[in-house]
Order: sequence, then C-alpha cells, then structure tokens
Amino acid sequence: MSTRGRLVQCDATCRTSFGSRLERSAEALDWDRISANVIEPEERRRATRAYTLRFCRRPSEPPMDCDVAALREIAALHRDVCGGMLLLLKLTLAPMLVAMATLATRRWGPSIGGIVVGLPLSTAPIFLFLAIDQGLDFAERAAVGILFGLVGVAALRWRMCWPPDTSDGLSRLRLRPLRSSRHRPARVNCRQVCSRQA
Amino acid sequence: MTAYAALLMVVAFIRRPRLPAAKVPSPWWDIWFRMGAAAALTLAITAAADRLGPLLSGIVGTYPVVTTVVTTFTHHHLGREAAIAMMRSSVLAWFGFVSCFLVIGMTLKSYGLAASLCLGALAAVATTVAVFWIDRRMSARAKLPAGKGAQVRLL
Repeated sequence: MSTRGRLVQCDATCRTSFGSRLERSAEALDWDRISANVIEPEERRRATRAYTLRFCRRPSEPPMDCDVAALREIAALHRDVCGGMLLLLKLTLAPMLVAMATLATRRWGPSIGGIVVGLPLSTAPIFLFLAIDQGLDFAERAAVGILFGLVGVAALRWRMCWPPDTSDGLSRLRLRPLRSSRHRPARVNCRQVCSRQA
Repeated sequence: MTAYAALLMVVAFIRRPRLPAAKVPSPWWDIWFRMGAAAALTLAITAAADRLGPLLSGIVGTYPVVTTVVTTFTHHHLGREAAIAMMRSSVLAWFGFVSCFLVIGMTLKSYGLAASLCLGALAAVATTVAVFWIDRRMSARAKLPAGKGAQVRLL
C-alpha cells in the first residue's frame, strides 16, 4: 500500500480531528524515533506543538514515508491534548464575541450595535472549527454555503420590512409593493349596471 | 454576487430611522442567553457537520441567533424606530460579512486557514467602513422631510 493509502487508512481508523492533516506536518516530527517507540514525553510535547502550529499552513508539502502505528500514536496524542482545548474554545470563543457585541450595543445604542451584531460573530468561529475539524476542502465548500445562507437571512429581513417605505430608498428606484388592496379597482356588478341603464 | 444583490435589495426596502436611536436597556439575563445560544449553535453545527455536509453546515451556520434576539429586545423596549435603526445597520454590516467569506473562500486553499481568516477580517472591516461611508453620504444628500411615506410593518 502506498504512503498516501496508509495515511487515509490511518485517518479512517483513528477518527481523530487532526488525522486528515497529519501528512502536512510529517517533516516536523522524528518519524524514526516515533516508530521505534523511544520518543520522550518532552519530545512528544514538542512534536505536538510543532504539529499544532503547522496544521493550518499550505497543504502543498509532499507526504513523507512513515509508519501507520506511529501515526495512530500521534493522532491519539493530538486527540487527548488538543481535543479538550478545542472543546473549550468551542464553548468560549463565540460566546465571548457575542458578549462583547452585546456590551457594545448597550454602550453605543442600536445603530452602532447593529453594525457590531451584523459582523460574523458566531459564523466565523463556526467556520474556524469546521476547518480545523473537517479540513480545508470541507471549509471551502462551507464558505459557499455561508454565502447561500446569507441570501436566506436577507430574505428574512425583507419579509420583516414588507411593505417597504416608499419615501426613501425605493422612491429612487420607482418601485412599489406589487399588490396593494388600496389601489385594487372595485368590482362592478354588470347585471345591476345594465338593469339601471335599462 | 447573489448575496450582494440580495442585501442591496433589502437595504433598499428598509428606510432610514426618523429619530436618533437611543441606548438599549436589556434584562440582566439577556447577555447570558445570547452567549448560551452562540455556544449551543457552535457545538451543534460542529458535531453535526459530518451528517450535514459542507454546504448545509455553512447555511445553518449563518442562522442569525444574535441578530434575532437583539432586534426583538430592541423593538420591545424602544419601539419601531430603534428596531429599524438596528436592522438597517445590521443589513449594511452584512456586506462586510459577504466580503469576508468571499475572500476566505478564494484564498483558503492557496494561503492556508490563518492567513485567509486574517484577509477575510480585513475585507470585512474595509467593506463595512466603505458601505457606512457611502450610506452616510447618501443620507446627507437625501435630506428627506419627516413624516412622509408608508408604514413599515415590523415583527
């Protein structure tokens, strides 16, 4: 089996959030020593740190020849060390940003608060965690999904503000609500009109 | 482009508030509720990402959990004009939102996650500043008489 095939197999076996990107940081680790199982705790920490720092770099580096068992070991290490940290970040990052936005709204009022609330305070952390958990390919397609989702959110705002105020904005475009009961012509009973004329 | 066009349409439908917006008095539990909702949304989407797939995860990720809560409270406490001010500002800020993820989507593969997020944040700030500058200039140019126009149905 090729190196890439073994990496894919390892990724599927380990089910770790970092498994799909192990090959990118392979050069930062001493694979011979890891596969010989003589790695020291300090070196493990160094390797973990090196890997954590490198997981978001360019994915163009070629994969190195390495042992699947060593990959499993490192993947388990990452799951233990980084999994808890990631969960903590998921629980704190978005709420902290939202809390800051809330305080800004209270401090400066709805106009400035609307600007702050309109920023991607919850979507950006979600996107970050999707990229870390699922990889860059997944994140790239998720970015397209986010743009589609914004169209839906804009439609929600459009519905909330219907019918529009024609004194501003739309008056320049000469647009009006499509159906309005006030401007609908009254129904005429033809029989009554004809009988009166007769 | 579709997202930009949709936002432009919505901005055209929301009029400018007629009164200067006041500050928002919120209940004490409001901030905790929003923080909990944001954490729950993050955990739920990242946990369900495998089943949802990338496109649906992104769409669900834009659910306006913060904006909905803030606008509802603003409308309840301060009335229609304050809610309009907030909605108009948030829709204008979404132009920056779209720019952010447009730049991230284009640069993610070539520059990596960290660099693309930084570039996306820069694009968001630049677009937001530009949009609000244009809006301020347009509102100064318009100088519309107060009390004219149709009603805006809210919430």
